[in-house]
Amino acid sequence: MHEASIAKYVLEIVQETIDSDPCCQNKLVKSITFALSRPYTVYPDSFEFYFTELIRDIPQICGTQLIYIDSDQRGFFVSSIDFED
Amino acid sequence: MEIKVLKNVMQKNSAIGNDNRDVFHQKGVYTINLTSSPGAGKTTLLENSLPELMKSLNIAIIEGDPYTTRDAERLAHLNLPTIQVNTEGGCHLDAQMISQAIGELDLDNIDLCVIENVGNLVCPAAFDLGETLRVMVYSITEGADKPKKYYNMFQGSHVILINKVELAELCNIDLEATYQEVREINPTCKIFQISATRPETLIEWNSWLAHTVKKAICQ
Repeated sequence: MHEASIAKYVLEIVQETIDSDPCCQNKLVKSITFALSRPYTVYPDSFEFYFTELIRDIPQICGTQLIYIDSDQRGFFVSSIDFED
Repeated sequence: MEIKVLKNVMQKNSAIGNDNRDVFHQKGVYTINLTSSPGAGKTTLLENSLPELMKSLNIAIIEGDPYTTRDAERLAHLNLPTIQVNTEGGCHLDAQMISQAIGELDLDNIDLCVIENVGNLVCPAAFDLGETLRVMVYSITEGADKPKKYYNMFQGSHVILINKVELAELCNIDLEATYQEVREINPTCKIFQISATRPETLIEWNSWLAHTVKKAICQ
């Protein structure tokens, strides 16, 4: 259930990234890649449930694909954000 | 167009927690984050400890609960400033919730802010709220095997109150062995053995906390 807080913080990171780069501001977010370590402290299914709710009414982000890659570094990282060209 | 971000999501919480800590420090407010499993005795501890602490400290409460106001209602007769934070099912308080609660408190007239977290031994260990001390209530009746199972909570607490010690024998629990296991995981934490329903067992804890808070806020 802590994924609700995590989803909120991820959305803040995504929005900060968009705001900080003028090239991103009018482009759709195609995908967000997360790096996470095992054992997982954030469960992707649960996270996606909350994150999808948060971005439902944000046109620039709501169609994004969420991608997860395993990492050796402990934690849950927003690794990269891919914008439409 | 791919933008590399490489941001640890939990650092968002930590940054807000540090901001909260700065606000509390600037206002001279000592803060404890009270954690435990559900039913371990956090609210009972407050019911029996706060009346004594209130004699020498101005206290406020931030009361975390998944859905209800039941704990706040149990403490209402103390007439302390209380902010209710409902997590809507969430398993912990986070720094953002505390940041919002701070705005509703008159920090200039508070010495000690008690944050009663949601009952859970896993998630609250990962979310810094900006507290001065993390105080864990460990109910001995839940079993002597808990310290190593919930390592992060035990390891990250500054104070551990071993509660319901009067029931240890009935539950066939070796209190001394449990104490040693807690000490093994967290060699530096302060440990008190209490029975939260019996105010006479809280004298040492109350005295230590009152002294610690007064010393900190006078600096």
